[in-house]
Amino acid sequence: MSMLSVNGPSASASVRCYARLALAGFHRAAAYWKASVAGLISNTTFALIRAEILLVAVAPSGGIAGYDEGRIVAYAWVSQGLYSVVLLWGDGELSKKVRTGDVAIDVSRPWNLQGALLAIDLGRAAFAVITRLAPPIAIGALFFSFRFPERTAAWPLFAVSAVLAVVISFTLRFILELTTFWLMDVKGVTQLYSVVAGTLSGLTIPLAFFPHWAQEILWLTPFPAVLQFPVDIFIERGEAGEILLQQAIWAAGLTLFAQFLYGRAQRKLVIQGG
Amino acid sequence: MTYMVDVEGLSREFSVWARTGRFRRSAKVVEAVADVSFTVARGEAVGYVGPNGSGKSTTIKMLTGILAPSSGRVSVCGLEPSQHRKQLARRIGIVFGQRSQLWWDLPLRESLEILRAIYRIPQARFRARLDECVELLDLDSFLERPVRQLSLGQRMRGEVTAALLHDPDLLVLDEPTIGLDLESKAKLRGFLAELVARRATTLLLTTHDLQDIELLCPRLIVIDHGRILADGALDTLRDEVSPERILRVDLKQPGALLPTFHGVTTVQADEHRTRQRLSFDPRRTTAAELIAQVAQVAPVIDVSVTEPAIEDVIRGLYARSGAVPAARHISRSSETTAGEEE
Amino acid sequence: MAERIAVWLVILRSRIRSQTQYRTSFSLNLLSAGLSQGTELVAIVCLFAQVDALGGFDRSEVLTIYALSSTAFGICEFFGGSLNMLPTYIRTGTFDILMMRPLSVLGQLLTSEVQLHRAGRAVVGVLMLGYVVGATGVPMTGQNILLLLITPLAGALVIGAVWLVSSSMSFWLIKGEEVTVSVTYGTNLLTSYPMTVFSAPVRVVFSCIVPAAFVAYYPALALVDRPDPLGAPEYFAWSGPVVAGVSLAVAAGVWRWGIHQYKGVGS
Repeated sequence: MSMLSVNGPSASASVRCYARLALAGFHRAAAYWKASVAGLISNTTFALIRAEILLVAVAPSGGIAGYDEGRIVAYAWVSQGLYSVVLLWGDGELSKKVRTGDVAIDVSRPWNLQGALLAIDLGRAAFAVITRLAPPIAIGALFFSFRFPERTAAWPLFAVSAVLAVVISFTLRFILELTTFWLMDVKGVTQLYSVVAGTLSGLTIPLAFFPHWAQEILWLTPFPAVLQFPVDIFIERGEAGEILLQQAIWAAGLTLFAQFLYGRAQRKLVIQGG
Repeated sequence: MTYMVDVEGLSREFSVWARTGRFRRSAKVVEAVADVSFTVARGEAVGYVGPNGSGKSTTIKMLTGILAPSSGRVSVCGLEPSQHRKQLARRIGIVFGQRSQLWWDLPLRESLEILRAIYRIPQARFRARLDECVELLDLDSFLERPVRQLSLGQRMRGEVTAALLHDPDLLVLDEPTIGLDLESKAKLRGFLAELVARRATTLLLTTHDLQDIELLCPRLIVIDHGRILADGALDTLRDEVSPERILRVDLKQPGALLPTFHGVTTVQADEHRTRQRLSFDPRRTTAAELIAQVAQVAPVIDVSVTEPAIEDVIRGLYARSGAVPAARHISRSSETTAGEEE
Repeated sequence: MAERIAVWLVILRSRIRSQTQYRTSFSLNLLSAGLSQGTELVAIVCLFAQVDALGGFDRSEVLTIYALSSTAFGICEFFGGSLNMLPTYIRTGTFDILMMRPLSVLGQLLTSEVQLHRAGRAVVGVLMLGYVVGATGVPMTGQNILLLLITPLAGALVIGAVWLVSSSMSFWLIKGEEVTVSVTYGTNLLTSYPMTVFSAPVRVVFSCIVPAAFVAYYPALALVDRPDPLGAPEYFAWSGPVVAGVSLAVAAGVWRWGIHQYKGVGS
């Protein structure tokens, strides 16, 4: 991938560099573990309420749109946990740096900024898997009729799908924050994104519960690939290979687009000084 | 005589959870302020000096009613601060060098107008006060600008104005000159000096910058590890801690080292020994005597006497006090798995 | 007294004026606030496209509960949303500045971040209230009109009390924000659905923390003229104001306790 190329040093050196950054992302998240515990309380509360609401809808009818009791419970707990892993909306750190001009330091480093931030984000996500995803799954399994994947193969497929989801979610956030280079105030836009991204990616109810016309439109957006797709693989709904292929296409396409946008932003920084 | 600030045996402890083993934590009691007593009379300007973490801010918080003392007695403007927070607030003004009491998204003038409402200042008095500050602090050029667009120097001038609008009896300044450029510092110091001289406003100033003290505060309280090391006039402290003065002598021709006597020592001499620095104790030899002695030995072009810098006085105080234990362990350890320092 | 009110008006006016500087963001933010409340509406509508009843209640009945809850939460967030700033204020020392002024600290906190766009949620709630009343044919008796007026206000106070208590956690916890968020927005979600949706343990646990059912569920039962399947007495529909008063008294106590904790009194 072109984004991993660092000017000068060998490929193995650059891999080491990004691996080190990922580790730093993990450590940074671990340093704020208290926030993770508090966040876990929030994930659990919402997953619990959500699971009960959906269960009451699904249980009497025997199943809605391919979701039986076990699947809807798994959907509620996995989607709530996974949403902290993919992190639908970030802290706006890059956007703040662009506004203050501090971004010049990051841009001038001998790395690809997008690659570096992605590596850090993957490290963060790895920590979130332990503190924000695994515990809700355990709690859900303990108190509800939670359905675990029947085929062993679903587990590695879910892992790959989750990694792709993190890449896509990160890239969407990166693109959104890059717009700070052109728009003075992106707060309004990011807030709007943070509100709609959840529902559109399947955090409120499974996307399959939406009317058909809405689903048709949603499949044309990257949102399902961020959350609904990995959950679908976990509950073994749909064709895993097809889902992964779609995610891979979104990941690659968005990454290239972000690189293009970043190049323009860099040029703007050099020419206009920010 | 009633004091503006009257503090007796003031102490403040904090318990801090510290990890002492893999899964062990124990409560450690840190004495941020320990048995501090002092008084400040009306119209006095007092510098409250100490290194980071010495207990300065904790003392200020207790004086303003934000923090209750663990033990001891505090009275500010005749009120007990944490019991009478609101009444006290009307009588004191506070400036924090690193926090703002202005509304960052509003023009400075509007922030001041809001404070007028909050402190219920009569319009005429507000006008007079504001006009005075505008003139003395040159607020004119940025009074209509939003606070977030002001430079640090401009903002601090706005903060000082904000603290003075309600004519406080006591003005507390917590590191007011931190981060300011030389010109802004000079302007602020000049203004405060005049405030003390003309209005007899009582001033309590904490600072890192000892020049603030030298220019503004005749009296100095030095605190370290929560305890008062010294309290007195700067000159008295100087004589007490490092009484030596330095006499610099410029000689007409190169020559030998000047002979020393009566406890006078040569501190420094240049290559040709035309400029020499002698240290002497004015209690044993006066400067005039010393100069006369030197003039007898060699022709003198110029002489000057310098006192030790305030930094040296304070360093001398810290050195003299030695290390004071700041925290003591309390054996209240508990077995817990969750452990992070707070 | 008049002077006191004047002070708060000056503060409020200045807070509102400072927002008009960012007009573009304002409309986007208003939209966001409305949409974030609308999220649950989408969920309810989608669910009822698949099923006929949720916990024994039909679409219009659930929407009535949702509308009452949204209005209450919207009003509460509009007036009390600044409570979310408390952890930040404590961390950055701004809270000390509030403590130094000769005004109520809670009052200053509540007026510190007045944001008009927060009205978005209440707007969604009121619109939905209008829709359900019109569409479901709730009879416009004097009693019902009174209930429709009282309920959102009492509900807002109940949620406000919950919000105040959960915000006060920041006096003890360094990273209390997420806990606050889960309690307040969790309450918003919980009160949007009939109590019959939730299992007994969840009902008990949440009712112990929050008198959630009084915000929308009991009054909605009276509006659609149904007895509570869980057997609560009918007068619960009208108990909102009393519950609000008790909740606020408890919340005020916790807040005062928190301030004491902050000052370090007796610790």
